[in-house]
Amino acid sequence: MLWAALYFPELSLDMISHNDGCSNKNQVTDPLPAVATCVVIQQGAQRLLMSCNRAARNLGLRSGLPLKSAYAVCPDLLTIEYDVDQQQQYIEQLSLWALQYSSWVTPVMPNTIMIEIEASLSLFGGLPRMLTTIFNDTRQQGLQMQMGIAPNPSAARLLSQFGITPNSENNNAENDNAGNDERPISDKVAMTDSTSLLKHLGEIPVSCLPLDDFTLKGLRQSGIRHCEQLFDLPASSLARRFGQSCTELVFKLQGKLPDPCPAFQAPERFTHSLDLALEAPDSQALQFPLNRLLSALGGFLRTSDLGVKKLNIILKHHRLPRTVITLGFLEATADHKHLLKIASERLLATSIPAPAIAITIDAESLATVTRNGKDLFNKSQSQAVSIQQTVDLLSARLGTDKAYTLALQQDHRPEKVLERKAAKSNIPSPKTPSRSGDTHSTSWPARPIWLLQEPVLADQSITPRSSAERIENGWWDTDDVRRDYYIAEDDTGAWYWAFTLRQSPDNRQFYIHGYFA
Amino acid sequence: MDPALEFLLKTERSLWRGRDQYYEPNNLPTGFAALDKALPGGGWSTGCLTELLPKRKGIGELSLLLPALQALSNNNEWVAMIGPPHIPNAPALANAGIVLERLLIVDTDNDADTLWSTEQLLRSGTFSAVINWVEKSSSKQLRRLQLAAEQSECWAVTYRNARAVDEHSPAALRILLDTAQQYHDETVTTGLQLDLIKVRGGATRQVIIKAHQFDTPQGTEWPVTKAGRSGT
Repeated sequence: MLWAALYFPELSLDMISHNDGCSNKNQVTDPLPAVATCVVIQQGAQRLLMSCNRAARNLGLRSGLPLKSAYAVCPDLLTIEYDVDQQQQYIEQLSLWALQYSSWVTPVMPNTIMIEIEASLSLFGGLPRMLTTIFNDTRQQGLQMQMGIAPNPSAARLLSQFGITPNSENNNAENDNAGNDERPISDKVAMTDSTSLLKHLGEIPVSCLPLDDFTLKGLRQSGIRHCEQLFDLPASSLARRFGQSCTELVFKLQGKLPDPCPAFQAPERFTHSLDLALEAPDSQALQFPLNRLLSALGGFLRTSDLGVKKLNIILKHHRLPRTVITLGFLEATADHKHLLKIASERLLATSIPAPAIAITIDAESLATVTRNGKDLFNKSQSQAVSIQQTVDLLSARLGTDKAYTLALQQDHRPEKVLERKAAKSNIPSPKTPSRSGDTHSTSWPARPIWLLQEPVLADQSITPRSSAERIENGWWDTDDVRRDYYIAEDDTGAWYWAFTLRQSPDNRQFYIHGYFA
Repeated sequence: MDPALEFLLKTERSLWRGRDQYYEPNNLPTGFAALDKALPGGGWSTGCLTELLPKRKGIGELSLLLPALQALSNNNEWVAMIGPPHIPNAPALANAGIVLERLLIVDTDNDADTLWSTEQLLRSGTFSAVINWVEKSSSKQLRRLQLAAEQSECWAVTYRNARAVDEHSPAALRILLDTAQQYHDETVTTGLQLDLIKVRGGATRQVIIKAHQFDTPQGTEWPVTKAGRSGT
């Protein structure tokens, strides 16, 4: 097994920022807003800074500083309260997103995700390529991430926290104009065999190990500085002097003791929300948090092999009722890019009454996705996907039921014969393509191409040119129709479909119901 | 033609006939022989915008397109109508042999939405023909459609008011539509008169489609017998 540990050092800061980190992809932009922002944690009676963004660090703020001192340095500091439940939600959201890489994902509080990647390597085209994919995806979400890869979870976690920052490595590779040369990252990050792992672990200072202060102090006093020295000690004396937890950790790091990681189970329904640190005044500012939520949804859908048919975007405002935007999809979709395109189009068309302070997406009706095998020779098959996507895009701007196809109903009343149907992608091709006129299955007498919504009284003089066609139907329901239809012509040579009412045979007034366009 | 000229045309690569430049062998036959002959490439040209300017309603302005639409939809290709002025009547379309499942109708509230939807559909590359109806459209907006049509090799048709006939338009083909009345002996036969006012790669001329020629694409007998007719 091969474990990748993704460590998000600034998770709570990154998650609330809605500054688009992927706007210029070639350089690492600070994904946080330019406003100095800090995460604050209550420790005893004191409130301490837990992490700061770059703007805050530039002002000289450091984590561990009391909040009062921080305010002295920067009066308009933006603070975020550290919240365990919130953190739990963030990490679960990221786990959902990570499920697209592997079926075995374990969230570790407060800010690490373990992914078992060995089984997915061939799917993603090898280790270097897979790592690059994961790096790029996290960067697109504007998250800072450190990664460690090792044959056992504990070692991977330790490596990731020890601060190997693949992001910078990746950028160096890009700066060298060697986009394909992904070797340096994987070599640096990934310890795929246990000998190189032990060698690498040996250099790590003992103070970085996740042990309690008392044990660390004992280790320091014994002159043990690096893990290498720790590994050289006999197990029995290690256990006697530093306790069970230390021995277990050393064994787990070396892979001598099993290290179970419970696999993360995706919930049945997807509801996630993001609180925004800065109010989003318009739909443009909502793009970034929306992208992040939809990526999580995409990962969730892909793992559960489901697609979404109806999606609610809920915007919370300050002292105003919430705005709910419902997106309907023609067919269940799991494509994150398509979802984002539709949602953005819809957001742009919606006017937001007040700045949004939180955004929630709620995937309501989940259904299995129909995946069409792509036929190389049949054009209509490959069109099938795009037709739904096109119709979805139109409905997002124009409103639902605005794009449709027609179908015939078994009713002779002109108003009732039409039926609107959602455009379907995979219809059987017509059995016998009729090319000449006489093979048409003519079931209707001459009918106009344009039908008026409501018949109008003819205000010009029109002359009937055909014999009457009587349409008498619907006496059983409210729309009783008794009309004599004629094909009529006016002076200019235009042709109409007009009728007289049978209820009043003396009064030969014509109503126009259609044009023979 | 002069054999010397012929020789030059064959050998000199810098010489060509203006008409050949726009010759597209895969143009859509219109279904009307007279019109096919008048159009460069022998049919509706794909990959550019066609502008139709009917002077009034009910003269056969849409029937003109039915044969081409019938051929496309039966070939499993998608066809779209955007912002139709009235309800497209399914029985009439079915009579004409159009596969209704392949015809997407898009209702719009204003011209801006119509033009936007048209461009989206043209750019999607899924549709083979896109027809729209607009009240008013500027030359700039039409130019966008023309570019989108060029990109997707799609047959784009826009219906505009005949009042716009004198406006500048980037469309490759512009046709003014009106009723034609011809007198034979004592009976009057009517038909559809097409004034080709702009033809890229061809000559402007007038084509008249006689009423009875609409019978085949319509798929029904025209029940009017005594006088002529002008399109169903």
